[in-house]
Amino acid sequence: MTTSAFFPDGGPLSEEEFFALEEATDRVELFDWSLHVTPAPTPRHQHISRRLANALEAGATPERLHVVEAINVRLKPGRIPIPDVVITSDIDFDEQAVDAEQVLLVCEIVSPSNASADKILKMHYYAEAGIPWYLIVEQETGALHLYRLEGRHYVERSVTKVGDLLHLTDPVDVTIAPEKLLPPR
Amino acid sequence: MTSALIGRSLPMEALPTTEVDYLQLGETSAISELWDGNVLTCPRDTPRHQMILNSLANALRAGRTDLNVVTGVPVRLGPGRIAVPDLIIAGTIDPDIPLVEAPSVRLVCEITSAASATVDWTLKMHAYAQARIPCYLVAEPDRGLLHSHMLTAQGYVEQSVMQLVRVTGLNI
Repeated sequence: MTTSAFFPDGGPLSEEEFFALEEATDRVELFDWSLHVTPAPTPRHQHISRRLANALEAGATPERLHVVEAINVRLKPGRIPIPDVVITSDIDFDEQAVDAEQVLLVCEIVSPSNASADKILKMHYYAEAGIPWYLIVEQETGALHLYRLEGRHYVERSVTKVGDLLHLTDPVDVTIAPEKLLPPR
Repeated sequence: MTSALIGRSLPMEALPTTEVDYLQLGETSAISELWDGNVLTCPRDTPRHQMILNSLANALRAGRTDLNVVTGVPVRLGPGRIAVPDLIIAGTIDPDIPLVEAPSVRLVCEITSAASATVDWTLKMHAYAQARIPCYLVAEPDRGLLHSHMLTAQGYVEQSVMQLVRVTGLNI
């Protein structure tokens, strides 16, 4: 098997071609016209994602804010990651991708072995796109790392471990207990 | 699973891509790298990129017969992590194995493009430092600059910035 067919003439894909690829899988992101293919998420990952989305939604005014999992977010042309969870302002629920301007908080659920893309590359991407909040959840421990955009970089605001509580006031008003996100042992 | 656009299976079903899977991707017109079980596939480089690469390789080879200057070969940075730097300078390597181990690599050089610049300056810079590669060069054709970095305990520290044209002799 090869990936040469992804770039039939060697040149970059258009966004239309990228979205057509995605019909076959939702595990492909577009990173500056390069394809980033990730494996299907584990049950642990999906459990945490759903619990977190539910927890965030409980604090979101439904007319103003929305919480969605695993959608395309266009940060700029050719840069379309798929964050695990986002909190957005008003969006078109039938559009292929939402724009960075509509995103207030991005969350990625990471495991120690594959955190580099999320902690380094995506952190840079989201900061450059001006997304105000970045939340990283460690899927093994449940620890919550909350970052706030200051200028052009994220600054760590808090680390919340199991046994503590994360009090969010912006963009939603909600208290999250990390142990409530984790699957049963 | 297949897509009408590409008519072929995507690289993996549901599991992280292993090193074995990655190495079986084989020769392609696009460069693929393995990043902790994820595959990053970049579009083909332009002739401008290749011309700059060739002249940088020649400049780095000049007068040194004891080092191997190699372009476009995969380098294993760690378990599940295989990048394809534009150029490396390596010590003794087996020239018939198409995968170089990081401890053999003395220097990596990346030539940035619109598609690669952010990765070159963030993910790769971090990964090459983590793999303890002593020297990291970044050529920026758009700005006409060549940055050199040396590895310290805190990661890469910029040592110098040169005019790229003075190193390559190429006015492109």
